[in-house]
Amino acid sequence: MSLSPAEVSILLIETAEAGGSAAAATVVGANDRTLLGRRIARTRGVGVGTRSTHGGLGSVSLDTGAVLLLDEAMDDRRALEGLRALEDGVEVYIEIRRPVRELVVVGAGHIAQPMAHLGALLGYRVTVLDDRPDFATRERFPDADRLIRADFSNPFADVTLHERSHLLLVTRGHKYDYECLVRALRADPAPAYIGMIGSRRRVRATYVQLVDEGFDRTFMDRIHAPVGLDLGAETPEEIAVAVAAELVMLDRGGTGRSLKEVERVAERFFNTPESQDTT
Amino acid sequence: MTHEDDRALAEALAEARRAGRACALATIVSTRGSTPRKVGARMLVDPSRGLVGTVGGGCGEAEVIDSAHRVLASGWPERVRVDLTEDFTSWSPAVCGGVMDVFVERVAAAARKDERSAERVSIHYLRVPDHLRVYDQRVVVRRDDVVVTLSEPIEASAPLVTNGEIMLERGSLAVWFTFPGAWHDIGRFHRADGRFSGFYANILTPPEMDGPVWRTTDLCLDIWWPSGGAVTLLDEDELEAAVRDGHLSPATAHRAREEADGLVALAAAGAWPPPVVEEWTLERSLELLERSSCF
Repeated sequence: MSLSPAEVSILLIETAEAGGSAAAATVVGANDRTLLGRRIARTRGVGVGTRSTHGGLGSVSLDTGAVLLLDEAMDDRRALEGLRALEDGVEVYIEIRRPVRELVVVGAGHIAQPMAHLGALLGYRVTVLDDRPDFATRERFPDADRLIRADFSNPFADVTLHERSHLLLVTRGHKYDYECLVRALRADPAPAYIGMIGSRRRVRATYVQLVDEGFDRTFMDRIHAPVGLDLGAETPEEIAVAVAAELVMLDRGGTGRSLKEVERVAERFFNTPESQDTT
Repeated sequence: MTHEDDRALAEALAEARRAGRACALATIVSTRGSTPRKVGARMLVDPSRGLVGTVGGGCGEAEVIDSAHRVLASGWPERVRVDLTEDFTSWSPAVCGGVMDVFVERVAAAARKDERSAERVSIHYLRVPDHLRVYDQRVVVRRDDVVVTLSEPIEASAPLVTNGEIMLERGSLAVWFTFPGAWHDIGRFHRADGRFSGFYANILTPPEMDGPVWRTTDLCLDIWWPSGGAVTLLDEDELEAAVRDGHLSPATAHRAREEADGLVALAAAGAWPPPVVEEWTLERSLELLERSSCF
């Protein structure tokens, strides 16, 4: 039987929160009006997880066509929600849910606090991990979604990492950062972002160690370290802003440069020699 | 929709379901030009709580709310085209300059399966000469001019087929409309998966409808109007045979033919079946039975 809008909305939310993907098709146009409002949904577990089908549109051939559309929508990251055509003039509206964007701050120290705050502000589901119980506390992180006491030798035991996870490694020691980094690099599916705090010298030392352990250059390229945009940040708050800015830049595809330089409105407006060359 | 909007909507839906209220859900399914909200934006119209979410930030929302009230009353989803390009009254014409399609559907209230205790009737159909069929049904709604009942799922192993189209099959449900004093009843037939298959009318003697047992004599003729097909008169041969064998009087047979021909003519003119059969869809009937049993 068909699913109600309430059942579908809960199914989609729960799948996305668990790090999976989901898509649902609702009949919004049909010659036979009894088909209107019928629904079918597909869900996929984390990464290339198990797929399953929920509900139905009322015939095998409609369901088969819809499942193809839904899988396509789930698998193509650029797929947009909207109308699609099925057989016999049946039109469906497709909605898509990706895993919920998550910021996992590993280490609950002085950078983690403003970072958790900014992450929540930007709409990330924020998780803060630490091995010290009196650091990852509600008082220190009022807007984090989850506070987890973790052992840094296996830091992600209680966190499901997925393709929309963003990790920031800011533990109390580089030794722990390194352990967490290795775990993060081996995670499957690969997280969207792995940022690690550290000076150029420290980062270099980390890379040397990674090479010793057999990681190649492709792994280094996935690590954002030193972390954040070059804002000249010094305080923990400023560093958090630099990291947040990097997250937005990567998400939206910006350059990270000043818009003033990118757009050069003044130069264009005042017809500088450079712009005259192009005319 | 952001994840937070998604959550807020799901919580509002769940709350309305728990409280036993039906709501209307509006979703923007396509847009053209500049619209204040984009595809996927949703608004829930909860009759006793108001609006949750928005599909227009005010622009064109009145049309959607009107539609929501129609949908709540009829149960039929609607697709509304909201044209914001001619919205001269808008305060901010620069914002509202596009066209959007909004799908509006009814969201049923919660079912309490453990407390079903709807009124039941037992309908005794006499098929001449002496074959009695008893159908136990749940009463959906009683009005002066019609009683709406819901069949139990059909148990037959072979589907009932006319002209290659399945009318009923194992697991099918039918909503029945019985009109006091009328020489016919109407069934709203469905396939086992709930799809509407067509309207079926039995020509019969006006049923005695006092108490929990109804009695009527089947007059052989039936009318079948399949979904998307043409009205057909069935079983004329059976009526002829019943008269020939002396099981029905020629006068009764004449009345039966008159009734059937009259209905077919009305159907051709678009005046039959009556609106009540569209009003009590299977979904709405089931929903009402489930909800009424909460009280």
